[in-house]
Amino acid sequence: MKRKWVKIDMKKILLIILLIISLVYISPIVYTFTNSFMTQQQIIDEEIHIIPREFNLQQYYSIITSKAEYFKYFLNSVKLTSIIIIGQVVVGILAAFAFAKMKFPGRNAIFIVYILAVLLPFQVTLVPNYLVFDKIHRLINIKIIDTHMSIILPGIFTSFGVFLLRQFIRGISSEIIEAARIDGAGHIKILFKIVLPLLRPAIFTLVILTFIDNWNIIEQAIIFIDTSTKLPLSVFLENIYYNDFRVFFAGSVLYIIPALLIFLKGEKYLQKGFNIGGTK
Amino acid sequence: MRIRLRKYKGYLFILPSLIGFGILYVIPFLGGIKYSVSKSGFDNTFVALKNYKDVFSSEAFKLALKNTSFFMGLAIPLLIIISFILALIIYEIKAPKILKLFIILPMTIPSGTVAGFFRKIFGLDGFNIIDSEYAMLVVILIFIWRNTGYNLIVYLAGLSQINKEVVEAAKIDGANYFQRLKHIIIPLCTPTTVFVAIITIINSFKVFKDIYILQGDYPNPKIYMLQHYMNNKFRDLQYEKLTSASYIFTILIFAFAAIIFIMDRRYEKKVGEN
Repeated sequence: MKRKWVKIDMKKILLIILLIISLVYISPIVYTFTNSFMTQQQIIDEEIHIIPREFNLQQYYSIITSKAEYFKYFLNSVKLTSIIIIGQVVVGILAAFAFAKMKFPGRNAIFIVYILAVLLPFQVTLVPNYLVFDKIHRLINIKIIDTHMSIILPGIFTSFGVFLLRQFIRGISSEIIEAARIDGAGHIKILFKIVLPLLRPAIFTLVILTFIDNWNIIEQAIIFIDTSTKLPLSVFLENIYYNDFRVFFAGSVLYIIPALLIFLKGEKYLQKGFNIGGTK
Repeated sequence: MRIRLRKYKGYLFILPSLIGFGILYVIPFLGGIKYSVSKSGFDNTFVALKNYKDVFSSEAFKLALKNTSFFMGLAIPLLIIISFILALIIYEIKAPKILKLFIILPMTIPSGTVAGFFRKIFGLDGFNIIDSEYAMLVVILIFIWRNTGYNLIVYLAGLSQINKEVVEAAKIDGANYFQRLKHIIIPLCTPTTVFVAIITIINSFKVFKDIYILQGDYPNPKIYMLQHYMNNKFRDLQYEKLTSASYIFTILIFAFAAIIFIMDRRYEKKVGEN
């Protein structure tokens, strides 16, 4: 009897510790949200305020009425992120299917190169990207640097999507695929009728992770983009912080919301998608 | 003829990916080797390993390498331990879903949006850490804050696959919680930990986003990282230094990953013998 009491207490203590930790984790986000409803006098105050003195929408109002440029940067981010996601999913599914379920000479050797590339950070991969853009400019006079293509192309063709989807497709039973093949289905039919419907969790996982990464794109933008109006909002927010602090928090909240919505919508798939990656 | 071609059908599917990946990554990565042993991007005179030596002996690179390895050496193990403990607590007490969500959400938040908060609490008058010699602490805290979520998801998935009967059996045999943890739960989580370690290494390079947003191109020297060094070389168009530095970097990362894989193999062998 006594033992049980001790156990219940331990559970409660852990729950309280976890509660405190989770509140610490969420606090930067809460701070950004609550500050977006504060008056401009309150946000420039030296002290840290979590609760608005009075609830008001002044910041949102000034962004919508007088900050048309904010939405231009916002749209830059939407454009970059959506094209990269669509491209990466389409290209990735095709390649991942072949790597997982088709036999062809050189398959494993090529896939190893893909895996190695997954490990490399931007610090390394931006260099080959830059060299090839520079070469293309010199050889055929097409300028890619300082256009959105310089971010979109490397984004679509990163090996991460192929890697993630391939791990997942490998988990699909080969027997189903063999059975379909005996019934006369070609590779394309197998891909669309059998594999794709089962691939939902993995595609969601890829969409979420690609969204998070590209919605917060920094490195590529500061290296490849010179014209400030072409910058994504992830980089330009810094400029708003220094030059337009009175709308900074509202601008931040509007930028956080799409990321939160997409994440919350697909969160249940993440665990599944990651799980496959973890256990191979 | 038909049969022979059929063998290559897979290439039709990987072709779009292969072309893009090859042109943007693989070919220029290999082609860059030429720059790294040339006098400059515009002068092909062969200089052997001079650029590598120059990079290694430059003060900026040494500082960047020192800071980056210090950061990785400290932050990566710390994050893995923290996320394992949190996952364990959530798993054992079946914590309310909302608490888990609070810890996961930071991974979705763009760096620029929370910079207001971080500038404020780490830059307070009289308690300004970000400009002090302890600035690395801020970087580590932000890194842990942002990345616990990824690892938590993976660890929770790993923990949920542990066979409960094994744990129960040990309990009946009289093993206390910490014995079960040490001899059953942690060993069974090893494949998960390897995966977590790889993700953590990959994510550790993304910490630059937060540093850049907080401090721009010329940060506090205490948090001057390899990406800052690379950015400067980009700006000066010093291809030879840029490529040399990126190969040095690549070798370091692969060495790091290889160590993890070897440790994992050894471990599996040991478990297999038992």
